[in-house]
Amino acid sequence: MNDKHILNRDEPQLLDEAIEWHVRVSDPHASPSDWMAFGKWLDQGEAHRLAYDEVCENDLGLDGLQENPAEGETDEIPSTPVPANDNRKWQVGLGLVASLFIAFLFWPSGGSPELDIFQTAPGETRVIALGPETRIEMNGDTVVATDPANPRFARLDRGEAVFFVKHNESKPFVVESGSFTLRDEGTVFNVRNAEKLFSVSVSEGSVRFNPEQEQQLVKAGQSLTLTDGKNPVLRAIEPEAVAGWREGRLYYDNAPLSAIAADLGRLSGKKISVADSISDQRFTGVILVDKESEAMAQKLEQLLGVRAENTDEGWHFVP
Amino acid sequence: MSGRDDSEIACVFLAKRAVIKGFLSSRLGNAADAEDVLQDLWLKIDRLKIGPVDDPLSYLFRMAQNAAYDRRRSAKRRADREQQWVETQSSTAGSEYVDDSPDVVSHLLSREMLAEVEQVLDGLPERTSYIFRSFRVESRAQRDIAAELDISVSAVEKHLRKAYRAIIDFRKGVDSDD
Repeated sequence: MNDKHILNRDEPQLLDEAIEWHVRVSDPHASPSDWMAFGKWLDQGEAHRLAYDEVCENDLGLDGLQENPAEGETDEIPSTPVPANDNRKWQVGLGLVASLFIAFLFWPSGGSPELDIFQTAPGETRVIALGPETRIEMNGDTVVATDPANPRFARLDRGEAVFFVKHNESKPFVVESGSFTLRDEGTVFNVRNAEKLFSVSVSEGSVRFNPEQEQQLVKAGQSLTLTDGKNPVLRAIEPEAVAGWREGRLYYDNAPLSAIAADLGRLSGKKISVADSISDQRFTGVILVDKESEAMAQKLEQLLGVRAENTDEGWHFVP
Repeated sequence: MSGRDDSEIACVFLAKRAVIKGFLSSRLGNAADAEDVLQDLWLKIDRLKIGPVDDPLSYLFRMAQNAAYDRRRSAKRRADREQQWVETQSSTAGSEYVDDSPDVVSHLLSREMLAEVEQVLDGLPERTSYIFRSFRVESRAQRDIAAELDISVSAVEKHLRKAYRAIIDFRKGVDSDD
């Protein structure tokens, strides 16, 4: 081996040990005693900790690697096409969605006329059933298009929706949104595309982002965010944070106020605007959306460090 | 709202606080930082309703491990930044984006880099790269891989170590471009 690439002094040995520990503790079945033994190893000094940092650093981003090619048999789940307005079943497990409205609007321009367009008003949610085991829950102020001829496709034109997809190896479910494409790999995932911020977060299974280009795999417990279509960032998230809007919880990690205002508006039905001077201000944390408007305004002022001026239809955030 | 009782994970956290703090001290190299990260962890556990997990203590160790790494990483970034603060903020090198927010535990490798790492893997014995992809990309447990291939878990570990070593050697070689 070429030793000059390897840390400093006597470190090749340390790096090997660090790798060994990494392999041990990154296994899902690592036991508490493994962790404690690993702690003892780290206790030997900063050189050990640095060697381990180095392994972690090099492990980052490897999620993007290819999986092993699938071999032969895929689970054959014949997907029976069901009319897009079939809404049997969806009462189950959807305590929050009191009623189902499924509207068919005709999309006047752009987009192909064969698609069914579903639209929600701000503050309204809606469920689309695409088959016995695939459904889309739409947040407010959202437009989703589906193809009656192809139950394995949906397009998110605006807003946010969570997709519960029955995986079928031979017929992956595809979501298009703006210029992005997502392909399911067995999955529950949330997609948001509004106010320059595109994000997909996955709570079960995984999703392939732009399968023809970047091919980035986003796995359960991860979210991928692009701002203005650029600067992809993959973050670790708690699976429970995915589609938190369904329970009135909004989770943020370094998100701009402009995007937060859009989310709040979608969920509450209020019109929320942000003064230009603070629209890029960042927030990290959780917002619990309160139905009680007065209390909510106060909470937001505290959390976000803004003043919420009342307007006819909502609030205007100012510094 | 359905009133939820304290999650199992919160109970385990409280019961095993000392053990987790011990691990954090080992990982971070000092008790003050450990206390800090522990505090953050608690807030996180408290605010995210984490559902039932197989093995709450292991889950907590993993959370602690990630948080500790983020802490060390942002400390290092801060130090680097102070050194050469001219090119701070987020640098966009190729499609690789380096985010400054402390919660980012993973960023995307550029496609070129990924393609090269693929080649490194493909250059390894087939079984080694198969095991590595199964573990690292498909998130399969070592014991499941061992069972599938009818080998021991320690043999699986050996393949994984070999693959990691090859990738790290390769990436260090690329970085220093020597």
